[in-house]
Amino acid sequence: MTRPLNAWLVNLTLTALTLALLAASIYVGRGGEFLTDKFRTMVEIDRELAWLVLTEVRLPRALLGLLVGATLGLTGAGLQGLLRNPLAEPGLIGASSGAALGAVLVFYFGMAVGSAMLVPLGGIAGALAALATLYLLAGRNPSIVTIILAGVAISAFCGALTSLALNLSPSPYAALEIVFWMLGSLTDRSMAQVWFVLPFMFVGWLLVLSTARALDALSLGEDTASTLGFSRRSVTLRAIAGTGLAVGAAVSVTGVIGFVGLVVPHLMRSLVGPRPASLLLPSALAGAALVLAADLLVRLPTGGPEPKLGVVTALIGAPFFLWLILKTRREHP
Amino acid sequence: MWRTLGLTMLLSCLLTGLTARASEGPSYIPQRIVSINLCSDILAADLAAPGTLKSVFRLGRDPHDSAVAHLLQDVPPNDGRIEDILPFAPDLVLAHRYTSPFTLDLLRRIGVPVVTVNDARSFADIRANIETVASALGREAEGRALIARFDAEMDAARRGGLRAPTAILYQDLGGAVTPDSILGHIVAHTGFRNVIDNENPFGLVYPGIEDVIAMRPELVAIGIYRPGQPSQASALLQHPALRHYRTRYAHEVDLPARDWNCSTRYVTAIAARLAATYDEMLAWERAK
Repeated sequence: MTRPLNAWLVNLTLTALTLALLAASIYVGRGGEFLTDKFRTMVEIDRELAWLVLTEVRLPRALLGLLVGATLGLTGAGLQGLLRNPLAEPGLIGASSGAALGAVLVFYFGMAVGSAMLVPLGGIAGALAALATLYLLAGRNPSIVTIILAGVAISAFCGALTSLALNLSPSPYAALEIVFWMLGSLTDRSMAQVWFVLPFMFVGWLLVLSTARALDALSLGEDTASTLGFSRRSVTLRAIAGTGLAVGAAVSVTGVIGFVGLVVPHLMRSLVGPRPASLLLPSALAGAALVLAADLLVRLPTGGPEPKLGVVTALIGAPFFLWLILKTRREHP
Repeated sequence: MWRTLGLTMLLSCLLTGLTARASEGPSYIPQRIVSINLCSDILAADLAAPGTLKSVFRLGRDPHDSAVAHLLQDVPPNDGRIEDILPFAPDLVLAHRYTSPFTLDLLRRIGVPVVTVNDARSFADIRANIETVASALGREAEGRALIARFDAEMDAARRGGLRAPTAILYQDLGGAVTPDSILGHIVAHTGFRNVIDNENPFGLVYPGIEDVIAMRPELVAIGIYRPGQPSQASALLQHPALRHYRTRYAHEVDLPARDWNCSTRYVTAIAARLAATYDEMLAWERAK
């Protein structure tokens, strides 16, 4: 392994990169034009209209990219530390598909009883249920294989239930709605949705970050961790609840954006070293940068419907996942 | 037991089909019609002689989807599967060009005549579909009357002049109709200029909300599908930016899917609504 870089330097660079991508996300329109002519004429004709597009279409999209990316990066790093397993990731272990199922159930069948505010709550409940199931299935000392297999099973099961729910829903476009939830996207979201998810994500992040030192201790073994005064139960509870809150809220507005939580901690590990605590912040920043960059990528093609963000992250992430499995097999045959 | 039943059913269908044609020659008039697609349901409901339509596709009876639902409440529904069709012992099955080829092939193999309707992309296509079904049903005169009615209603909705307000017809999936689609033709027919000017084989393009606002259409016509039922598709129409634009900068009109589904002669109701909106917009401008 290369010598870890100065953590501050890495974090600062990543912050700068994320901010640059955030600005680009606001300024670059469809087809990749920088401050498009269309937009400039709009400012000339009607400032108010241009402002509307800026604040209600582009800003929420950029902010959601930032928030969701940070959530996926942070929770990916947290789960990998908690499960001491390099393949853990909210998407792969079923948290995201559980969140999608919860959000779908509330969105299509619960709207009569409440407001749109309930959709993130459904997502959170679904993510927590999926994570709890995984934890029960995989036991206290899970092997890599057990976790991944249990995760695949939970993902498949939640995915099937989501499809079933959408097939049974009164929605006329069941097939398209399935695509919406299974392949995430940031297109045409609104500020209202940003405000909905922000508090849940924030609390989730704090819970995951609060486990930082315990995760470090845990990486030395469970006995060492308890000798150092960290209760495994409390750490697990905080990490899982935090992941459920943040990922559940994220998925309930963007759908499932996979593989970010897998790829990002690995990239960061080679920069800042394997210590879980020092991985959390860089992973959150890099996750935000990656999602913002991928979301810029899907805007480049003109004409036809925009590709889904989840497709791009899967195209990047799935080969990476395969490579990771091969590498893991070589190291632990 | 099931196999015997199925075989008997197949045989009986085969026989009724054969005897029907043998006794009445090539121009026999079907008496047991089964329609297995919403689009053919609508045509059959208009054209079939009383009592000859034995079953329709389930959506044909749904008032959200079908302009003729009220005519079909007493006709048993089917789900388009071969087992749904055969018990009615049909001597004609009406379907769509895109109905499962396996179903259509099986029907043809056991000797049940099948007539398919096509997607309409022009007014001529609408007339052609009416003619196809009318002639298959032996109701040519009724078909001609229906076409005359369609033409008269379309004529009544024709608008135009020097002033052609810009319009977008946005459906709740975020799809906007292109000029060369049935709704696109109606937009032009009723005096509007579509802000969408590119074409594709599907007749729909997908501009984002930002693009819609940047095109600054004077009329935002919304093709509503099942209002009040939650879908991401209709959630898109509730986006604050689009809502703000619609209330502040544009006229708007809702076009229920019931009338434009399948592009049948009932699109005249859409044309009438757009024509009325055109009149209102011009009157509003004069008043200003």
